[in-house]
Amino acid sequence: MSVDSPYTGGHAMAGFTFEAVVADIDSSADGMTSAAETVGAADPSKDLGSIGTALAGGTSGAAATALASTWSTRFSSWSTDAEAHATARRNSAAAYTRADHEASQRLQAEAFANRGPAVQQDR
Amino acid sequence: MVTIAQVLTWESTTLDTSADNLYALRKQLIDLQDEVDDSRVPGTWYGESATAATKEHSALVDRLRDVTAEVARVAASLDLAGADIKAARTDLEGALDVARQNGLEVDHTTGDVRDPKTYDDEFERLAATVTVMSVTTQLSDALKKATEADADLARALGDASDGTIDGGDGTLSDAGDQLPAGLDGMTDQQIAAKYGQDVVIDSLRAWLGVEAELATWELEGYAEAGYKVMGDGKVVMDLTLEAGLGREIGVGGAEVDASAGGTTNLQLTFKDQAEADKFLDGLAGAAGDLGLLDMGNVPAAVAGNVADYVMKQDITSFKTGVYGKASAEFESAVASGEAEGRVDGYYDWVNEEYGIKVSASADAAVGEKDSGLSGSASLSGEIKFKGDQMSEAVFDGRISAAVANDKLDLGLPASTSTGQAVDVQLKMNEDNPRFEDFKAAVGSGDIDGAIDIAYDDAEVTVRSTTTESYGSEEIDIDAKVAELEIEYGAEGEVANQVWVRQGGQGYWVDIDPKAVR
Repeated sequence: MSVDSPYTGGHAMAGFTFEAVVADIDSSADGMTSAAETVGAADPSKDLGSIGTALAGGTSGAAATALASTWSTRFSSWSTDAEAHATARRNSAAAYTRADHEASQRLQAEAFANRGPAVQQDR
Repeated sequence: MVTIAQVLTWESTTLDTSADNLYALRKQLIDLQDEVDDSRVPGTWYGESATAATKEHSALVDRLRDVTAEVARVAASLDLAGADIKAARTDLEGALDVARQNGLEVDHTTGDVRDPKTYDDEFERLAATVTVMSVTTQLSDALKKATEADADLARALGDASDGTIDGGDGTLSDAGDQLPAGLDGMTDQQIAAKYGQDVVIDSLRAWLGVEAELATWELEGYAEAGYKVMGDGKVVMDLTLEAGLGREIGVGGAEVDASAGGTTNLQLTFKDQAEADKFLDGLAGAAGDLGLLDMGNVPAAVAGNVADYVMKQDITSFKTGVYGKASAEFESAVASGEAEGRVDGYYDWVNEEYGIKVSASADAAVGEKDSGLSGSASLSGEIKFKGDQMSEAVFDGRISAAVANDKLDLGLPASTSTGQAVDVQLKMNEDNPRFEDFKAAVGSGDIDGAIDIAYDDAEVTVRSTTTESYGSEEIDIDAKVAELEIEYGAEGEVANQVWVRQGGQGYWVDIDPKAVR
């Protein structure tokens, strides 16, 4: 995922502060993490294991066993993917912060280089 | 097809338990809607990474909707399969009982039925052959029902496994609104017939005054007629009559004493609207069929004519007020409610049951406190008894869509008509798996607890309706369900949307009123 510097996006942040954007991204990642935890903790397969015994000789038992396995994988992979997505968002926010920090350092360096003699005279 | 031996071992309660657990999981998933909303890409975030995040979020939510739909579909399918298999097993055991009583031998593997006896009498031999055929058919039907229930459930499980159940693109609640596989392919009419037999679709209530088409009852001063079109197409007509006319109608050995209660209530059931309308058309003529000898006592003659006419119909309930006895008869059941609200008692001569009614004004008695119902919301209660045992309890009332959603996990749209309120009916009876808990709560005076049980497990009907009041002048009414010429007050009610949840089941079925009309 590329990182867009808020200073090069051309939107001038539409009136939002840089800190608020980063906080919003982190907050949205928290929502996804919460969902990932709930889905990851669910165990739908345990409710299906008893069907084969309850309907011995029927066709549902085998289908229930297959679904139990599928659901275990499906729930688990959704949780993993959701958490990975949340992590990617936090990384984006962190990258914004790094980019901002680096930009800030660059600007300070340029400002220092451009000060010239007048600055030194003030001292 | 499965065998008798196999079905006799099938445990429907295991399916019910699995369904309950999956409903709980469905709720967990639906409750993630806040997390889904909170994790949307914030509007302050621009650029390529925001676009990529939006795409990824959308894909994750789509998968979550699908899995929610899968859980809901499998839960509902387990629910229906459990009920169908329980019914099939009951049918099977009934047929085996008949076989046993008649000395028949049943092969539990092949389903073959054999009569080992020999007959000299041809008539006895024929009778035995008919019994064998009847038992064979009953066994075959029960096995077919069980096999279909198993196949429907297997299909739902397979669809979920294959990932072919689509959760749509709405909310998680929308995705979780799934019907069981056993209803696949059913038309709106078939669904209405299956689930709508206790559901009022359209109704007309008329207070009959001085000059009305049903003028016979004005002679007694007051009459009220209710005309209801049910979800399965039947028409139920409730006639509340003065005791004088009630005396003329003898049903189930009723001896109506005018002093025992102010009114009698007669319920007639017709198989369809045409039959009901035919009854109304013929009523005036029958009532006015007077001879010269009747001229000295016209009111009594008209009452007698109406009684004779009514007696020819299918009378499904005939209630006489027993208000004076109510507190004594139902002292333990009424519990604390009696002191706080008006309680009416009746005896139904057709169904041989007592009943009490607690009016909506007695809010405290039917659970206003802590029930989540507020403001104008209230429920009326009616409890029926066969002998000393409670046989059914019904609570009716109008509550806000928001309360209905909270109490019933229904997901009604906020824009539900009629002031965002819906009519709710909760019915508990002996068929309900939690009826004993419910009875215990009522018996101990815990009406709030009883209503909470009903919200969780009762047969529930929710209706969004449009009500229209008619003026007090003499008018002709065409309320889609009937034409009545009346001169006092009348009110018509038309259902716009109807939702039904059967007792002990966890899925909701929409009934399309248009499919019934």
